[in-house]
Amino acid sequence: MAGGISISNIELSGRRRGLPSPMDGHRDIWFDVTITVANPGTVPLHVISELRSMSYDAAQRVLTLRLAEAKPGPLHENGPIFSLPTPATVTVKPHGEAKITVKIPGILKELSQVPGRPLALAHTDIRDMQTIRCEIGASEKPMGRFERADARAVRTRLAKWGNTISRETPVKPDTRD
Amino acid sequence: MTLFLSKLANDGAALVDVFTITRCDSALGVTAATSQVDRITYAKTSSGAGQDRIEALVQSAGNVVISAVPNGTNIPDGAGNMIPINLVGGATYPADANGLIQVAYCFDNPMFGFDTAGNQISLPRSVILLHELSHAFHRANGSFDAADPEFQAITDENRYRAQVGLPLRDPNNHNGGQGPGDGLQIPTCTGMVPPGGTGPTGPSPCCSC
Repeated sequence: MAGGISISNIELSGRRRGLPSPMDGHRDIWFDVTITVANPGTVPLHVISELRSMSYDAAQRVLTLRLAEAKPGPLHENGPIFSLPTPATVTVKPHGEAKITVKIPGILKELSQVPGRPLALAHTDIRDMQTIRCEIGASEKPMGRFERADARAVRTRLAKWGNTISRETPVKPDTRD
Repeated sequence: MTLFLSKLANDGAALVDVFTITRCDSALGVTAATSQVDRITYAKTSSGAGQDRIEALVQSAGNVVISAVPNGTNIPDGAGNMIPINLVGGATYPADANGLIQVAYCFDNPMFGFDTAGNQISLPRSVILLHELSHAFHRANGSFDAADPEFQAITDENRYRAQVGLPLRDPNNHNGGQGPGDGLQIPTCTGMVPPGGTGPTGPSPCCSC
């Protein structure tokens, strides 16, 4: 538990379809994952409410959703430049609960670097997942704002903020195309 | 030695945004280069921060590839994690062993930054692309400010914002988030607005994105 927060439920929606692409008319498949967090304590808790990273273990069929910031890793000289916004948070009142919904694609798209070539785009159908694992960061302290910090600095500061809890739940995704 | 659009990603969306940055300059062209990329050709016929930057990239010594990808696409963060591109808007990868600089950006997710008063202001998709192309340009030309690359890119971004009449972003505030901000979008390109203004049909589809 992070400052008393707990994940009381993880629910996968039925299949959703996106609006037709103006380019080719195809419609992406999405799911909503609704995570219910509960605060049994006596002080408000600040909980990260947006997806910061995700990964799929195809061998174990486990989708991991991280509503928590990654730890600052070693600097790679071929690493990209990007600005990492301060995570969005919700405040969960004492003895209250909150529902956090994140969208996940049915077909996971991932870019990867291939020297001398454009970024490769891989597609992974994750509708065979059997388990969703959620990780959520929470704290009694507000996160504050990060106005002039690069991604590594944001992660370094967030590594000292709160704790991360996790929970897994079995799922049966709607596999219709 | 130029600017390319990746056909492995959404090259149509990327072309729309480059066209928007050049303010719909008809001198912009595309030629097939390889099975994986198209090459941008451009010798500007009008001046402005957007046109100047695209022409400079086309004429630069570096090779820059643009990949436009949709909301939900994961990208490597260089530290062993995969992060949703809609979280960060875009990312620029330094030149690889073959000298290729990669720009990836999200073309279908509303995002915002902040002005100097701390108000949320929109980051239209062509603004996000221009911001990333600023990093790429300075990488390609040896003018990259490694100590404060975001200040450098936001300063360039503000020149384009001024050109199209958008509020300026605070170069000392690199924060932002997902959402429409003030909702302002890139206006139509000068010369492409139908007589009598945009009227009830709204802005020209070329640049309303």
